[in-house]
Amino acid sequence: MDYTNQKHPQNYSQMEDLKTLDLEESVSETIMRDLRMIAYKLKYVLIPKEQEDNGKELRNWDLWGPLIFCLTLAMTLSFKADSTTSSSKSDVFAIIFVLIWVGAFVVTLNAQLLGGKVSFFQSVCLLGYCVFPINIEAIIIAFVGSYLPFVVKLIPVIICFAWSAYSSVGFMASLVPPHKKKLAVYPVFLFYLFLSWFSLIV
Amino acid sequence: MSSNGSALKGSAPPDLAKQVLVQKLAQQIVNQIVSDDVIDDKIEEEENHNKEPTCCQMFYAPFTLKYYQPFFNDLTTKVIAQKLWASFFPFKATFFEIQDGKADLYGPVWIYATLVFAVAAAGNISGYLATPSNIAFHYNFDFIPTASSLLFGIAFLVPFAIYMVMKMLGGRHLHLTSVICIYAYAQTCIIPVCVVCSIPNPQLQWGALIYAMINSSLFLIVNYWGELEKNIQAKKHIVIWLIAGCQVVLLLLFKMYFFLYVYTNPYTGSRFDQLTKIVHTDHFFLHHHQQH
Repeated sequence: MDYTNQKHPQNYSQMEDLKTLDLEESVSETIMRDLRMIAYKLKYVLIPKEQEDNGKELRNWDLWGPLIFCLTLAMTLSFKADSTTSSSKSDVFAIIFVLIWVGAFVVTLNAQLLGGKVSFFQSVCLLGYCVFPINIEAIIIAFVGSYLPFVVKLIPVIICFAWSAYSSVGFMASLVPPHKKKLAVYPVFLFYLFLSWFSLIV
Repeated sequence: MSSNGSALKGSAPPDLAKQVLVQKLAQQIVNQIVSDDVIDDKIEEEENHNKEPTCCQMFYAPFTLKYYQPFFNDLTTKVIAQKLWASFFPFKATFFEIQDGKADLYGPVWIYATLVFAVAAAGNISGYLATPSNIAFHYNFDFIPTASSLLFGIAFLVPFAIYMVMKMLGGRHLHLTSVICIYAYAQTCIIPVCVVCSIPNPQLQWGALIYAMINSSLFLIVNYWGELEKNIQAKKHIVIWLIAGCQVVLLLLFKMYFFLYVYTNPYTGSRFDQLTKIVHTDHFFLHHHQQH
């Protein structure tokens, strides 16, 4: 047994696969590939005109995107927590984190119980990607919010909330039969309302 | 064996005959094994159809999704809208006539979720409007976990208590899920009341909360009146007091925890009319305590 040759390809098919061996790439390549995938999915989910195949791209769900957006949102909102709220930063972080994941879980369960035939993680993935506009408004308000009167702050909040809700409602409504559409859509609406409300008041 | 073989297949050489025989035997054995398996499976299936679910299966059934499917099956938006509408008119006992009194669990979950949001938001808004401009207002995030535990806790415990009491006093035609369902729809009137209570005027808040108390208790009592009259007759006062008592306690908790801060004089006002003034907590109970 020649142990020094273990990494070398043993046959032709392995030689062809050499280029895609993840262990051989540099770390930056792997990260860039993942980021590019997230960016592609994001454009797909948030800009409805890109969806030419009626949402089939969503079958390749991943949870990296939702995790990144959830963490960014929770960190942005807990960043200012000490000065404007009576709870500690870790409380705020915990509440937002739990809210996003438990909320996505419950909304998906609701759609499934109402008769929607969708894979569980597809739906969680979509809801997570649609948190991105809320992220944008949270960052805007965190950095310039203290200089703006309340009414001006409302404008990006409403725009981003409408954007999130519109992107995910299209998908959710297509899952359930027509006489239950509003029942499946209302929880999504409540979920993003909750998150927008947080980014507004902190 | 060899004599048999040679007797049966006199013309074929004995080796070939043996081979054929062995092959036939092997085939028969395989057939036997396969058919045994198939028969076993069939028997098991039949048994499973006829068997009662075991204790273990009955225990973990509520943790599967299929268990809750019947409560979401025949729902339509129209049915839910009808039920919500009915909860605002407590004098008509029509709740159990909608969809033949079929319980649904969509209502309870999302009514309490909306209530958590409404109470947390309204409580903070009323606190914000009640503090004077020169004092920094701190948004209280703790309202959300507190409100969730309170509301989702009572969502199950109070209907359970009502169900137990009614069953013990002789009620029939009761199901726990249907009590949970109607109790949740009774709380829908608190959502607009919360919106109103975001204005920190104590009279307004007390008025709105008393309306919520009366509306929700009446809704429950009127809808259960038939059941109470028929089966519980003499002791129906126990159930009525239990329902009213729970609602009173719930709304007092709301007032004392979420809507505690008010302003008393609208003319020396608060942020509400953007002048500086003094913040008052609602003295109704604090005063009484201080007198002792």
